[in-house]
Amino acid sequence: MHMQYYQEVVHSALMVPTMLAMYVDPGSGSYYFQMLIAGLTTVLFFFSSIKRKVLSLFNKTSEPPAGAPDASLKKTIESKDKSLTE
Amino acid sequence: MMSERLKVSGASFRDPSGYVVEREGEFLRVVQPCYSEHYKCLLDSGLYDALTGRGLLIAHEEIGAGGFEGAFKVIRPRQISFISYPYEWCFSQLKDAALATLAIQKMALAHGMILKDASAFNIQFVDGKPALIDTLSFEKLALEPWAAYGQFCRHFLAPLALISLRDPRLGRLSRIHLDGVPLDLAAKLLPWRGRMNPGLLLHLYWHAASGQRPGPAAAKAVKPKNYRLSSLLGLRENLESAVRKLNWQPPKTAWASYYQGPVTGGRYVEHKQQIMADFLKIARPGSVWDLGANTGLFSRLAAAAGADTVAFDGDADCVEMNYLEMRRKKEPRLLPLWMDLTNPSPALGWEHGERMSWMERRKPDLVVALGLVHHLAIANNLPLSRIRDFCAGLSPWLAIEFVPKEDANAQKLLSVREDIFGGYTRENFEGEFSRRYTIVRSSEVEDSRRVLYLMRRNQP
Repeated sequence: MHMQYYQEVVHSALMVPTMLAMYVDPGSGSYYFQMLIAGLTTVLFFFSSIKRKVLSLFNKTSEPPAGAPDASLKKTIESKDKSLTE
Repeated sequence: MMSERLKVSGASFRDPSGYVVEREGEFLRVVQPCYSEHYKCLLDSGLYDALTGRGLLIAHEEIGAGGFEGAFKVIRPRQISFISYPYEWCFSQLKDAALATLAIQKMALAHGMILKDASAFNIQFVDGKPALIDTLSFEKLALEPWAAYGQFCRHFLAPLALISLRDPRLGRLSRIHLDGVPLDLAAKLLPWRGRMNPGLLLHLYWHAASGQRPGPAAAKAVKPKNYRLSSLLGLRENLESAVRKLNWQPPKTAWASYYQGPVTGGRYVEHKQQIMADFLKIARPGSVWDLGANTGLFSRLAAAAGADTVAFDGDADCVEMNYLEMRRKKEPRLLPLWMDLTNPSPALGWEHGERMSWMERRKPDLVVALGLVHHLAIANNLPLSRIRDFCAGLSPWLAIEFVPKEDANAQKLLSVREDIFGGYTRENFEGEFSRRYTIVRSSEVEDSRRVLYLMRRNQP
C-alpha cells in the first residue's frame, strides 16, 4: 500500500506536467531511465568535450562532425542551462 | 470546411500540430495554430535554413491557407518521388537514417529546439540521402528527458543491433511492430555477446529492463528540474557512438555475386546493357522500377539516363551492396530497396491507412524485369497471364527478359522438381503478353538463349 502510494506520488511529481506537452508516449520506463542515466551521459559528454578540445589542438584543420558547430552548442548550453533550470 | 478535392493522409492523425493532405496529386502539410510558436521558432532560430542547407530536412514553401479553415499555415514540401519504409531498407540505409536523425537532433539542440519524435517513418531518401520529411517534428527546447528516446531505440537501435549481431532478415520485424521493435523482444533475440557492447548494454538491455520495472528505480531518479542540456547532448552523443559501432558485412551469397558467375559469361552482360540502353532511349521514362534488380547493374543505366529509379530485390545482401555502391558513386536518382515481389509490403496500421502497400505507391513509367520471369513462373508457379497482368498494372512501358527452359539457370530451378510447365515457351510468352502489350522491340542476347523485349501497354 505504502509502495503504491509512493509510486503514485513519484509519477505525479515527475510525469504529469511532461505528459501534457507530449504527443509521443515516451514510455514511463524510458523517461525514468533517462533520469537515472542523466549523470552518466553528462559525465560522458564532459569527457568527450575535453577529448575534442585536445584533438582540435593537434588538428586545427579538422572539420566538425555532421550537425551544428560545437561553438554554437557551447553558446546554447551556457544560455539554456542557466535560464531553463532556474 | 474542407474541399472534396482534398484527401487527408491516413498516417496523419497522431500529432495535433498538423496533418498532411493530398490535393490534385501533390502533398501539402497543414500547420495548426497550436504549433505556431514552434513553427516560428524553427524559422527564426535559423534551424530550418541550417537543416535544409545540409539536406537533412526537406525544404518547403508557404502557400495560401484558403480552403483550410482554422489553419495557421499551409506548406508545400518538396515532393518525394517514391515513399519507402524502414522495413524495406537495408542495414546501411537504416544506419544512415539513424545517424541523420541524431545529426538533426544535434542541430536542433544547438538552435534551442529538440526533436519531439524520432520515428524512422519520418525519414525518406531524397537525392540518395536520408532526410526528415516531417517539418513539424521540432519543438522549443525544455530541459527534461528526451520524449523520443524510447522511440529512437525501438525504431533504429534495436533493428540495427538485431541485423548486425543476429541476421539481416530480422529487419522485417519493423513491419510487424510499427512503433519499433520492443526492446525486451530485441534483448531476448540478441546473442549474449550483445552485452559486450557498452552502447547496447545501456540503451537496449538496461533500457529494456527499466521499462518493465519503472516504480522503485524511479525513486532514486534525478528530478526533471535538475535535468541539464549536457545530459541531452551526452545522451545524443552516446546514441551516435552506439549506432556507429554497429556494422554488418553482407556475405557473398549466390545472388550478390551473380554477375561474376559462369552463367553470365561471354558477351551476355555487355550486350544486355547495350540493348537496355537502346530501350531507355525509346521509352524515355521519367521513373523506373527495376524488379529483381540484384546489385543494380541495369538500374544504374536507367538512373544515369535521368530516370528516378527504384531497384527492388528480395535478397538483403544484394540491396546492401547496391546501396553501398550508390552511396560511393553518389547516384542521387537511384534508390535500392528490399522487397519480396511474391509477398510485397502490405498496407499497415490503423484502418490499413498509415503505411501504403507497395501497389498503392506512385507507379513508374517503365518496369524493368530482367532475369525474373523464370523465377516467377517456374519457382513460384505463376501463370504467364498473371505475370503479364501484374506488370500491366504497374506501368505503360515494360522491359522484360524471357528466360527459356533450356537456359542454365532455368534448368537449375527445374532440376529439383517435376516439369509441369508445358506452356512455358517463347511462343506462349509472346502470345500472352501480346494480349495487353504491343511488342516494340525484341533482341536475342548474345551468348545466351534469352530474349529481351520492350513492350508498350495497349490502351484499354
